[in-house]
Amino acid sequence: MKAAELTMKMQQTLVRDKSLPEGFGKMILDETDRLLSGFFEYGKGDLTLRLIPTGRGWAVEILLDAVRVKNLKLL
Amino acid sequence: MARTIVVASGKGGVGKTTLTANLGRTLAARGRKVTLIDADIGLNNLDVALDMEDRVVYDILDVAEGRISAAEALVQDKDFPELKLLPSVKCGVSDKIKAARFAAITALLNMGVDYLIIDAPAGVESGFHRAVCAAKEAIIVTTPHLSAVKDADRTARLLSTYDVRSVGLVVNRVRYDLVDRGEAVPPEKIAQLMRLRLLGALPESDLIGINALCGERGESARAYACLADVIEGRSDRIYSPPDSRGIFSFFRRRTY
Repeated sequence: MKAAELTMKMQQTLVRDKSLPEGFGKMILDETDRLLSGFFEYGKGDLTLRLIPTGRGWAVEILLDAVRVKNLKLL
Repeated sequence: MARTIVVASGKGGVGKTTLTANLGRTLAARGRKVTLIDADIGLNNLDVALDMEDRVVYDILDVAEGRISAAEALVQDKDFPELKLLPSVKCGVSDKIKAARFAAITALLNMGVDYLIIDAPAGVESGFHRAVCAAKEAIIVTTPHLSAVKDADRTARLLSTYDVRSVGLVVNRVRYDLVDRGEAVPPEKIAQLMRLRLLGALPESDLIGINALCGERGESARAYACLADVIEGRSDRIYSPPDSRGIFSFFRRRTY
């Protein structure tokens, strides 16, 4: 078997679809910052980010004091 | 404060113990104070790899049960006095040493040494948990075989749930002749696929296959020296044998 075939096989074996894509953390922070800046005041409530697998990608649910404020559909 | 590094793999037989022994010796040969801990309880071989098995008097269970201090249980290497080993237990008493106790022993040995290298057992069960809990850095060892890479990848993912700051990859038993002929995946590509930093690549060696220790000269000794340089932060160079350094080999490896 050639190295290219072995590489392909290795790539297929290391299934990555269940893992978060690279840059995902930064994207969440950027999107959350964009969404919350202006109305969320530090220390005035509990901010929760819930990561939800959607099957094809991921969504982030933003909760403020356990109340859903916004759903971000990322990737 | 020592750097506490765990050597793990997931799959057995990829060279964790051999790497721990040789890396420890390479660092000790440079004057670093190194303590190796055999965390493979029940199936320990680090003392055998280091040719210390005849001198083992006490083991980690004696330390865990308070019969002796951790420093007293250490066995000193004959060639490199700066290299010491905390041996493991031969019989299966794995449950008697809890992760917290193991971490406490590690913390005791942390004083006055430069490196504390823990040889983790194969698998990702309680023995792995015990070894990883005590470490701040991890070296994942794999061979270029698909099954080993897959297990190493799972181990790397599991490590992300622990308090381990940095995880690096070492590809062991690389057949550079096959890599150069385009019949094996280069270590750089394996690291890229696993999204891990490549710390080193170690060539397949008959000498290590027989003796476990790489000696002071030869291809394996040079590869371990490169690995030690990377771990110490002195260089980023990954070992490649002289035949693989040519311009044609470089482009051939780049194309995969």
